Amino acid sequence: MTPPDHPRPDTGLPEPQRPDLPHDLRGRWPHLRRVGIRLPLREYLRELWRRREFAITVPLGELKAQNQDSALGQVWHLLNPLLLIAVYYLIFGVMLQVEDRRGVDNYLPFLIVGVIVFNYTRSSIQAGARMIVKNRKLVQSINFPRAILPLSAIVSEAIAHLYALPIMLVLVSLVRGGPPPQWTWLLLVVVFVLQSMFNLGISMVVARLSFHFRDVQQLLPFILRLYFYSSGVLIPINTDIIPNPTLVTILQLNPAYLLVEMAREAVLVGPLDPQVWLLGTLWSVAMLVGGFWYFRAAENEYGRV
Amino acid sequence: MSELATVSVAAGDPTVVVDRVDITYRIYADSAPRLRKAFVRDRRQREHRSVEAVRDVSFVARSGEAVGIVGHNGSGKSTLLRGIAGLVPITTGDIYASSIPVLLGVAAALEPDLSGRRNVLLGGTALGIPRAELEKRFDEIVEFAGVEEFIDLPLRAFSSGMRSRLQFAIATAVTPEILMVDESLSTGDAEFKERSDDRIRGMLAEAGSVFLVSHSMRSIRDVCTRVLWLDHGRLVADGNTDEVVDAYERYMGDLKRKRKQRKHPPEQR
Repeated sequence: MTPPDHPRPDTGLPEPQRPDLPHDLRGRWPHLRRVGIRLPLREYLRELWRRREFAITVPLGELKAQNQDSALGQVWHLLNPLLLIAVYYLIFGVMLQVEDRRGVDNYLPFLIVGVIVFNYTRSSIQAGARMIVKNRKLVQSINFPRAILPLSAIVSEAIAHLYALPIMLVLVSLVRGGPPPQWTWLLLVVVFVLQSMFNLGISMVVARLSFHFRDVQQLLPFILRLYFYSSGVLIPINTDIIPNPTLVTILQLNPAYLLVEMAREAVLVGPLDPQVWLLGTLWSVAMLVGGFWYFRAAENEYGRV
Repeated sequence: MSELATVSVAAGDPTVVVDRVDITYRIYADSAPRLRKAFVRDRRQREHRSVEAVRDVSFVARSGEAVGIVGHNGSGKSTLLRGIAGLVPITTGDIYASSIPVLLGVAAALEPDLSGRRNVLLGGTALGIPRAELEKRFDEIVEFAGVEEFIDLPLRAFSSGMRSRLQFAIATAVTPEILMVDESLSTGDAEFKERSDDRIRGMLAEAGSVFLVSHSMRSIRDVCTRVLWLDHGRLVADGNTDEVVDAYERYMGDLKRKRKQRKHPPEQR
C-alpha cells in the first residue's frame, strides 16, 4: 500500500543525474565497502573483536554498581542460590526424603551442584533475553556487531559463576556425605567452557526471539521453571522416579541435564559416563553455532526504530 | 576497513557511494508485535503500512566534502542517513562507504539510567574506540561537552542539550572518517555550535566527510559545500550550497504563501 504520489517540486535547478559509476566499483575504489548488507563472517568476527572491550566494560560496570548499591550487593548474588539450596533440601531432602526413597546417595551435595550449575544457564538465558531490548538506544544509533550484546551478558554471568564455583566446592566438601577434593574436580573447567558456549548460543536465540516478540520475556520465567524441573536438579532422572523409559531417555538428552550431570560426575564420586560428556559437548557446540547463526540472520533488523 | 583513529582516504576519493537506493519499511499498526498476532487470522490486525522513505536516490560524496541534506519533514533525510550508516536495511540499490559512518542522530544513543561516565565508556567502546584511548581523552571529552559537574550523575539528570553535546563529544573524540549529524532536533547553544562547527571543519581538513541534516539554512550555509534536497524520498536537487539552498528557500516560501492564501482567500480579507 503506497501513499499517493506527490508531484515533483519545480526547483528551477537541473535534475540530479545518476552518477557514472565504474563497472568494477570495488576494483576502482578498493577502499569502499558495501553497507547495509550482512558482513561476511570473518569481517563480522573481526568487528566483534575490535569491540571486545565493550563486552568487558558492561559487566565490570555492573559489578561496581552492585557494590555501591547495597552493602550486601555482591553477597546476594551468592546468597541467592545458597538459600534456594537450603529450601530445596528442607523440602526434598528432609520432608520428602528423596535420598532414601529414590536412590540418591547424599542428596545434599547432589542438590548443591545441580542448583549452582543450572543457575548459570538460567541467568544467562534471562540476561540474554533482555540485551537487545535494554540496549535499544545504542543499537538504533551506532552500527556495531549486535552479537557483542549477548556476549557481554554471558561474560557478566560467567564472572558471577566463577565466584560461585569455589564456594560450591567448599560447601560440597564440608557437608555430610560430600566427597573430598579429587582430581576430577579439574574437569569442572571443561564443564565451565562447554556450559559457557551453550549459554552464549541459547542467549542469542532468546535475544532475537524477545526482540521479535516482547511476550517472550513474560513467558520466560515459566519456561525456565519447567526447564528447571526437567533437568534433574531436584530429583534425578531415572526410571525409579519416572516410570516411562522413553520419557527418561528424552529427558536425558536435555542439554541442561547433561551439563548438570557432567558437573556432578566431576565433583561427586561418580563414574565418568563418556556418553554424557560426548552429548554435552555436541550440544554445546551445536547451540553456539546454531544460536549465533540464528541471531546473525536478523542482524540488520535490530536497529529499526 | 581502517582502524578508527586515522583517516586513510586520499583527498578527493569517494567516501560514500549511493546507487539507486530505495528504502522502504513497514510500520505495524501495533508498535510491538505480540506473539498472538502471529496466530491471528484476521488480516486487519496484521496490517502494516509500507513507507517508501527513500526512492531511487543516487550520489557520490568525496572526502573533504561537507554535504548538507535539506527537505521537508518526512522527506527521508534521516532514513537516508541511517541507511548510509548501516542502521536500516536497504530495499534495493547499493550503498558503499569507506568506513562505518558515525551517526549523531535524532535517536539518543545514551542510556538514561547510567552515569555520564559509564555512557562515555559504553558509547565509546561500542564505536570501537579502545578503552585506553577513551580513558586518556576522558577529560577532554567531558570538557568539550561542558558537563564536568554532572558527569557522574545518571544521564537522566542531564538536559537534552547536555546529552547531545556529550554524544557529539564522544563520537568525535577520535576523528571519524565519515561523520553524519542529524540536527533535526537542534539542542545545542550558539557557543557549542561554534565549537562543534570548528571540530567539523577540522575533520574536513583531515580529509574526512561530513553529512549534515538540518532545518536551519544558516547552519547548512555555514558548514556545507554541497547540498542535496530530498522531497518525499526523491532527490530533486544536488549542487552547490548557495544554489540549492536559495532554490529550496524560494520553494518553501512559495508553499507557505500558497497555504496562507488557501486559509485566508482574498475575498474574506
